[in-house]
Amino acid sequence: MPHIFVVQLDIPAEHEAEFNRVYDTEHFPMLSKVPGVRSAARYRLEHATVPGMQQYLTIYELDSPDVMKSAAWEEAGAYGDWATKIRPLLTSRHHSVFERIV
Amino acid sequence: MRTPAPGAAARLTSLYETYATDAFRYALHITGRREDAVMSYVYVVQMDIPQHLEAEFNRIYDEDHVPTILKVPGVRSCARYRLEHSTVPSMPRYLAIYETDSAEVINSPAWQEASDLGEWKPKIRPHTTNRQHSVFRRIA
Repeated sequence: MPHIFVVQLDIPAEHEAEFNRVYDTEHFPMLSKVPGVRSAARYRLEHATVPGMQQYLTIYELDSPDVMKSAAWEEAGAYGDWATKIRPLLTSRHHSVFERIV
Repeated sequence: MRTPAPGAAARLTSLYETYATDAFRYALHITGRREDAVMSYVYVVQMDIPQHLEAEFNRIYDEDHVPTILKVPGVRSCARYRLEHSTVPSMPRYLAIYETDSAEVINSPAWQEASDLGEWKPKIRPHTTNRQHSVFRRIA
């Protein structure tokens, strides 16, 4: 069964425009193209029953969790302004891997 | 009358891949987003269940609860997942993602009725812990 890599992030409001620009033009398209990534989708929180739920959610559907250990994944993650300019600004950053069961 | 040469579409796609700049792709992306007539939302449900109830939990979830919810108007799909690992120690073990046409589907009478049907409400729900319910709007 496929796996999903779930990323939950918060960014201060003053950096939100730059965060979304770099995410949509660099980071997200690069990771989406890595071999073994079946699909990718970005979401923004509307409401949650839990206080503190992160504002941004990204779900990458993967052939297997090994995709994240590949050189292509590492290279894509290091591309552009994301790692140097955006990642240090994130105030919350959760990573989880789930296996699809149904 | 001129007809496109065989493979013309493939060559155009290849040209696009070669020459499209990130800015151009982004412009297309934004345009596509604005023109997307049907917005897409996900309802994310996370929970834990005591280990001795896990088999029954999964049986009722798969055979009863999800099929009932999928009949609610505006619900497009459901996928269920089990946690492998997380940077968050308290991340719930079970995750269900429902794709819906709007953020309001989960508040509809049909959804409310469906979620209370069958064995889920009396047999499973009281034993679930660490429940987290969130609605997200797709942005890319």
